This record gives sequence, C-alpha cells and structure tokens, in this order.
Amino acid sequence: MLEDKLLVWKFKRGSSDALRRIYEKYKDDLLALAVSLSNDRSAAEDALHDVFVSFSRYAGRLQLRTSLRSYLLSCIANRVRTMNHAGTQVTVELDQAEAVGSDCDRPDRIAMSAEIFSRMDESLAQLPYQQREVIILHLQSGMAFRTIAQSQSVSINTVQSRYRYGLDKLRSMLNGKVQQ
Amino acid sequence: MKRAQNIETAVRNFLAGKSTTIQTGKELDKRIIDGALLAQEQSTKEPSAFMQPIVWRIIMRTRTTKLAAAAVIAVAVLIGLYFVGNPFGATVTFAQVIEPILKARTVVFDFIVGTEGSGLTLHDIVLGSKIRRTFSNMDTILIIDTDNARILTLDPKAKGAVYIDIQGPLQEGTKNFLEFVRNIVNNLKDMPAQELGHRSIDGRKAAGFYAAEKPNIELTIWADPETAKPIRIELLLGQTLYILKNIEFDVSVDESLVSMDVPAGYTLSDKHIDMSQFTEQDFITVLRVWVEHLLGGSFPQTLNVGELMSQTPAIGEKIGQLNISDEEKTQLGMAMGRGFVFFQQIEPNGGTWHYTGSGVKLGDGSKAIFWYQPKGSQTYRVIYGDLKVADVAPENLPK
Repeated sequence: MLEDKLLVWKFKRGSSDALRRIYEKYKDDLLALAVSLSNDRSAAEDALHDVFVSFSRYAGRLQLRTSLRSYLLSCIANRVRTMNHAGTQVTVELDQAEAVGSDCDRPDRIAMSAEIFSRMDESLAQLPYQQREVIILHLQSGMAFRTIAQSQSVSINTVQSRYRYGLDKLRSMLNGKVQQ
Repeated sequence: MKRAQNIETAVRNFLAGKSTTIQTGKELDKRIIDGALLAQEQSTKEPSAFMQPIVWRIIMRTRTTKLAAAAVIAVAVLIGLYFVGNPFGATVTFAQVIEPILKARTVVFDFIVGTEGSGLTLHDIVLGSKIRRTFSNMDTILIIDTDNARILTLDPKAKGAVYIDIQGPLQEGTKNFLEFVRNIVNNLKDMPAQELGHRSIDGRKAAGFYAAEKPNIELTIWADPETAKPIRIELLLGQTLYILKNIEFDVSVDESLVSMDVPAGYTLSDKHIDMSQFTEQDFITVLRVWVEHLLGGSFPQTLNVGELMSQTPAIGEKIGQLNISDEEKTQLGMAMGRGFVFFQQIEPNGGTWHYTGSGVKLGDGSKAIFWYQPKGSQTYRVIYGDLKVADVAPENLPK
C-alpha cells in the first residue's frame, strides 16, 4: 500500500522502473480479471496491453481517488466492457464459452466436482454482463461495492442489486442443471 | 446451494481456483512493457535523469572510501529508524500479530530502502544488540554493535577491515536495532489501525493492517493469518519508504556471525573514520559530486534517500578515480557519507524538505534546487544551483 504510493509518485515523474514494478506487481491479477470478464484469453491480453499503454501515456495526469490496485482493476473492467460493446457478445452461449484454464490439475480444483466447475463456468458466462462484472469484481478481485460503484459511475444500490440478481440467477441455473 | 452464503462461497472458490492458473508469459510481458515504455517516453518531454544510463564500470581504487560509504548506509538507515519513536496513539489491538516480534531474540529479514526492485536491499541478521548486514549492490559486510556504537566493516574481496566509531549524535541513533522492529509493532499495537483484509503478499496469504500519523508517518503490516507472524512491514517516513520482508523470528543464529573481532586473514586498516558530526556542507558535497561526476552536470529529476543510497557504490568508485591523494579521497568519501546522514535525518528529526532541482544546471545560481526547514527554525535554508545557501523567510520561498 505504501509502496504503491511511492511507485505512483515516481511513475508520475517518469520513472520506468516504477512502471515495470507496477506491471510486475499486478499483471497476473489484472489478466485473471480480464480473462474472467471476457472468457477470451486473447482479448484479455489485448485489454491488459491497452490498459498499460494508456496508463503510461497519461501518467502525468494520473489522479488516483482509490488504491492503485483498484484503479487498475477498474481500468481493466472498463476496457473489457468497451471491447464487448465494440462488437463481441455481451453474454456467451454455452458452446461458445472458452474453458480458460479449466484443464488445471490443482488439488483445490480437483476437490471441486468437475461437473460443478464446468457448470459454474458456463453459468457465469451466461449471466448478463453487468451482473457478471459485479460478481467477478467483488468475489474474484475483492473490490468493495462502493469502489465498483465509483468506477462505473452508478449508485452503490445499483451495484448491490446487480450482484444479488446475478447470484440468484446463478443459483437457479446451477440448481436447475444439477437436477436435470 | 440454498443459501446466499453457499453460492457466494462457491463462486469465490471457483474464481480463486481459476485465476491462480492464469499468468502472463514472457512474450506478453515484453510486448506490454515495450509498448508502455514507449508511451511513457512519448508523454515525457524531458527524459528522467534516472532513466538515462549511468556508466557503472569504473574501477575502485580506494578501499577505505568504499568502506566508509558502506558504513554510512548502515548508520543512515539506523538513525532514521530510531527517530520513528512512538508516533501513534493509544488503544490496544492486534496482540497476536505483534507477539512474535516482541518476544523474538533473533530476527532475520530483508530491508529495502525505496521501492522494491529499484531500491537498495539490505539483508540483516539481528542477534540482540548486534547486526550482521549485507547489501544487494556491494560485497561489503558490516557487523554493527549498537550498544557500543561501533561498526566493523569487512571487504571480503580485498580482505580489508576497518572499525568505525559512531560517537556523538549518531550514537543515540544506533542503539539496539531489534528495538526498532519492536517499536514499529508496539506502535501498531497501541493505535486504532485500519484492517486491509486479505491479500497475496510475496506469494503468501496475508492479513493487512494500516496505520498513519499524517503527514509524516504511515505504517502497513501484512501478517500470516494462520500464525499471526508479520510477513512484510512497510514504513513511509516522510518521503522515504522502508520495507521489511522475508521476516523470520527466533531462527538459530551462529554468534560468530556477529563477532566484532577481525576475522583471520583480514588486514585491519589504521584509518580513523570520523562519523561524529554531519553538516549541511556535507550534504552539499554529496550534491556536487553526484551531479558533477555521475549526472553530467544537471540535477536529477527526483531526489530521495533510497535512490541516493543505491548510488553509493558508483559514487565511491567515482571518488576513487579522482586525481587527488588517497587521504583526500578518504576525507571526501567520509564527507559524502555524512552528507547522506544529514539528508536522511532531516525529516526524522522533525524538519521538512522540498526538492525543485529537476533539470537545473550545476552552477545556475538563479534557481533554487532544494530547501529545508530545520526543526524549530522560523526560516528555510535554500540551496541554489550554484550550491550557495541562504536563509529565506517562508513568504519568500521560490514558487
């Protein structure tokens, strides 16, 4: 947290070391968020690239109202949303959703039923984008509802509603599929 | 999945498992860093002095100068931390997190002055009041006896050794180093800290706490949520950041590692290194040598303790190249060291400073490059580009 303050201070003064350190520190978190939001590894990499290039270009004008991490996560979310609006799908059909990283053999992954994992991936992909975005920002990236609301310029009630509706739909989809 | 918590937990676990498998590759890293650096360069009209390459391949000729510079790093860091004192308020919290620090007899940690990756990294083994200190950018080893205010400096390559007495103002700043770590945690214990939640820190799950006494002191501690042992401590003291990481408590330490006896095979220097006083003039010497010999005659874009200290080896080597006698080199090296200490202790001593020298040419007496207000002073000491100094009232400071 304190390191971030100093990094931003140096970054704004043109330090390439600070830029590299910021990238190294947050690249995996940001890419993971982009992948979860887009369900497309290539698009996620493009989003990460675009965000960092833009971040660097406007370093001198950077005014952080939140933590550096939250700021970058918001940038990724905004970028992926823009890419979606620019022509790709908002929700993903079952047969279109990429199983990004689902071939992993991590023990915790194995512990989760393969069926549940697969259903979760598919069900999340089918949620309306705004709901999916809030769920992922909150549960994967740990962003507070208030921060999400600020980054999306909507009220905190709207964010919480999207979150609740999203989870309700997800629960219905998962229960329905398990019962089938 | 009938309850809200169940679906939340399930989704959280699913996303956590999925995200840990996603990492960037080298090719992507290169593409993004190259693009970002290009964008940064294009957005900056004047390149940063810190981005310009500095010639590091200079042959060291004066061992004593190098030893003196290394010793000063130890002293400067120590004194800065000592002055942290007890800045925070009351109300006990986080007892579990602080317990290992308070009870530990030995502590081993990495100590970074500045930001990680760009700052100077020190590795400390602390046994009671003694410390064995090594550096990321120098081969020098320091054994610091904080009770007796004495440092044994060893150069393993040249097999040279020198004792440094740090009497006078520095003596108070070098008492029991372990107490510094304890002071930090005690401070956190006695104040209402903000919980930062859980996060991955250096690859480990950690719970964070943040506390601040604005405008000069901010403290973050990340601790293992299972064992409550601190993993990482970040202390922002004025404009200087100190990071303690890879912290281990009560590890077995061979006492010979902190022996103040000169090891067999080393030659003890008869030089007397005087670190008893440090003055504004010493700091001006630092600026002059640094700008003149390493920065091509222009003051740097930024000035801070971590970056200045990381330049110590290069400055020492540059001094070794100067066409002056060995005795003069030693005196200059010691003046440089004292200048570091002077700069570093302005804020810990209750003063403030401000740097405005970016791009100013050495010798330009029309532009102020640095000013500071000593504690208790009504006026500021302003240093100009020609390194002359004047007392200036607050209302007359450069805009």
